[in-house]
Amino acid sequence: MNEKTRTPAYREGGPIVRFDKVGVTYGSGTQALRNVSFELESGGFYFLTGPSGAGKSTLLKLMYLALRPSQGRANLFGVDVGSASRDDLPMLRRKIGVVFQDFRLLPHLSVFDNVAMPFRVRDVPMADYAEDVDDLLRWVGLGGRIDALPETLSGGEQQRVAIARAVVGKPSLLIADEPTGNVDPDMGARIIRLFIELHKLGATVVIATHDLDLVRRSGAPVLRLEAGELTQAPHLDSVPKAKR
Amino acid sequence: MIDKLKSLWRQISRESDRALLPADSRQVRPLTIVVSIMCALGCLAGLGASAGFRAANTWTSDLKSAMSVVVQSPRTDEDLTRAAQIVGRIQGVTRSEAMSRERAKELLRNYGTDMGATLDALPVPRLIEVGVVAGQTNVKADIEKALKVAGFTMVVDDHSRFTGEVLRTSTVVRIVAIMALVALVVAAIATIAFAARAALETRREAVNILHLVGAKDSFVAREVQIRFLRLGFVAGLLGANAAGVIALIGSTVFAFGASDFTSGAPLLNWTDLWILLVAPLVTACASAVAADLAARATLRDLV
Repeated sequence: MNEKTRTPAYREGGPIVRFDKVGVTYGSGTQALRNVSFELESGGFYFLTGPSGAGKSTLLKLMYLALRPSQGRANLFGVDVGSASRDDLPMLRRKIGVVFQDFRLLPHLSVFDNVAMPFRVRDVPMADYAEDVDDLLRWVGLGGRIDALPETLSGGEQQRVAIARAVVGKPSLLIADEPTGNVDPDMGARIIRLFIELHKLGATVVIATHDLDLVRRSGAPVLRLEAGELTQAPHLDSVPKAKR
Repeated sequence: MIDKLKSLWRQISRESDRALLPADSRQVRPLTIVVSIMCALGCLAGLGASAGFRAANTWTSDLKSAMSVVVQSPRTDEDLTRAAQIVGRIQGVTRSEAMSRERAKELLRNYGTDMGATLDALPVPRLIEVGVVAGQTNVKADIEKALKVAGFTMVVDDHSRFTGEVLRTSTVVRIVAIMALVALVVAAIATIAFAARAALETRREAVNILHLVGAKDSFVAREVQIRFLRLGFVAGLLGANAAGVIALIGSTVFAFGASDFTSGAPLLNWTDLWILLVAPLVTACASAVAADLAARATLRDLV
């Protein structure tokens, strides 16, 4: 890790994400985010809400390092991602698990290989992860479909493969974009329970959703975006801490 | 042994099935053909340079080991025999033979003009054919000196004019062949680099996902590199085989039709096999390097 990009204030157990007046302007001139400032405590469980086009996806992209800020400072794990070198980003990404709204599974790979992807990109020998992957797939109810290709799975099954891939590397930060958007209410509830279980294991969880009932029922702190601006941010004292 | 090979093959096939970046046979086949054609042309250029070099060596060696003495006076048969004996005693001379008038006339006839009886009226040059140890210096000067002392007027031709021309021609042939080879290698590298970039563009979604799960550029580049290493090796094998067959056919045709051109030296030689053996390895390495550089350049455009 490049020492210059590490913020001295970072400490384990402190804010895992810290945005300070962050803005994102796309090449077309569209300003997707303006002046966004917030902190996410390590071990917290958060919802990100807001109407379509409010900038939720852009904010998530910043958090899972698919984008760098145009203005302000975005700090992840104590690293200023705006000035971090490209060589530093893979190590940061390995601490982050992402569940994409459209799953983004590789269609030519089996369920097993899709889930094993985070290990394979780290050149971990198959013998060292095969059992973990099998266990996780059984846990998400796909133990009997490890050799199946994604196209043969239902939407809910693909969602669970995507979740398994996101959590298999035991990420410190788990980000999910509308994880219940493509599944029936029962499956949605199971997925949320899964995230809660992961949160109990110590992961910081951020879920983007339109489901305000879900947000209200959970009682978890909320980040709310409207027209690219943060209109609601969590009070850090109210963040439920994970039992480690 | 066979079981072990089968097991290894199964393992390679399984790994190939698990390649993180999807294969695209629509791109692979035409690219393999293009690279194999370039490899074949490269091999032929190399074989051509080698054959030209060998022919030039044979020529110059033949020319350097022979001289001709044109005796201008006195010109009787006895004088010519005496001059040949004098030349034969000089150090570095391996053979000295007076050429008969009849043989000298044959030489003139070889120029292609049917002069009939006119040839008999011409003053046929009186020649001594001299064989010398190749590389021996001062033989020409020694012959001139010895014959002059014995009262002969003569011209000694050591073929240096032809040797120089052959060497210059050979050098030109080699330079042209090397330039052709370099041009083909550059073209092959450019083609592979273009294909590697295209391969990454068409798999941008997969590359993005790999990045987001923590793949380094070097990892993604290696995935591309391995694919093009394999493609380069297969294309190199095809190209080298094609070049070998073409060269064999060419050599056979040449051996029947124009053996004088190479002074009897064969167009193909067993030592040329190294060109065909090395070609697949060079093609594979060049492909891998080109793919790696292109992939890294493309990946730098990503976040």
